[in-house]
Amino acid sequence: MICEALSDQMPAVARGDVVWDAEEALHFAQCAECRDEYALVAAVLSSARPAPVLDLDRIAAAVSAVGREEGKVVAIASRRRTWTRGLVGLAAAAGIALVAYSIRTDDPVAVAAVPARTTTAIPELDALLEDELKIVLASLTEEQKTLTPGPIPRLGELTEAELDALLDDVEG
Amino acid sequence: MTSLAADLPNDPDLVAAWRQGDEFAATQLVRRHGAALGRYLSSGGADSGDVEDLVQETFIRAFRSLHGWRQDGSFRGWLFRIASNLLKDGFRARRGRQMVALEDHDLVASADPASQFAADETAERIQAGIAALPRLQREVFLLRVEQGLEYAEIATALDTTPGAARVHYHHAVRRLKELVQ
Ligand SMILES: [Zn+2]
Repeated sequence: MICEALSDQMPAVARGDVVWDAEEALHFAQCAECRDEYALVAAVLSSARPAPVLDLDRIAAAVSAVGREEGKVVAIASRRRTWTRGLVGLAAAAGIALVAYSIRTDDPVAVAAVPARTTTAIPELDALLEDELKIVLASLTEEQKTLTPGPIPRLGELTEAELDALLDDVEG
Repeated sequence: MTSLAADLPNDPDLVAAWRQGDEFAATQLVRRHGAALGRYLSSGGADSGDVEDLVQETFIRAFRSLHGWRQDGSFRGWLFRIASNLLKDGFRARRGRQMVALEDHDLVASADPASQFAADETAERIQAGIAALPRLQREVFLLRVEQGLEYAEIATALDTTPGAARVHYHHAVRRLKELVQ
């Protein structure tokens, strides 16, 4: 069994990565089988092709660049998903606001008093006119309309580009 | 056995960090395994001018398919498997080139021409013996001796089992031992 244990270590010993412990060294000195095998391993290593000269830092930089590039794609994709979820949430919130708005405008007394822009429960929607709220609502699929709206994204958290995209969506 | 290696972060930890976008982890993995992959690709017959690109491609493919790496398997073995596939692709593209001939090897210099001749002769016999081994025996033997892979890593690299890799290695050793006596 100790022959096998030594055999397992021979490449590492021949390379100088490990050294025999006392028991292994004693066995090695007395076992012709192990010495023959070690002679083979050492001969193969010494006659092996010299390691090619590689610029590992250049390789690492290139690998990192690919990771950065493709990591960015992943980040954008997941951000887009978040953004879509945000829009759905916002649109769902708009639906709720519009319903609330409609209920209020059903009151004949209120109709005359309600200005074109009214205050809603969602500050970001306050700036939208009724028609604009309807557009947002119309952008919801049936499935989305039945969703319970999650946390409403704050427009202040969106980037300028995302705000532009939202405005394009709302304004057509 | 007494290990002379210092304690360093293990591969799974570095891979996990790499997946999180830690570029230094990627650099450490390249520094740790790049040279061995280069030796493997070189002794496997890759053109010397292509080795660096192949090592780079190995890591890029590894990065792209990190999700496919089983955490319980050896990352190094997995890298060698990718490199092995790259070699096979190269062979297919070039219609199968054989291993690099011995005369291309830089042998250890010796001041004594007689012993140099004997060493050359032994090395030549060994290389011829290795080339004559059945493919799996040859690949297992070279991954074990030249690259220092463990049997579990060889199993991952060659899509076999550690037990089978061990058997192939011992068959190869038995055949080759006669050549150095
Ligand atoms: Zn022994």
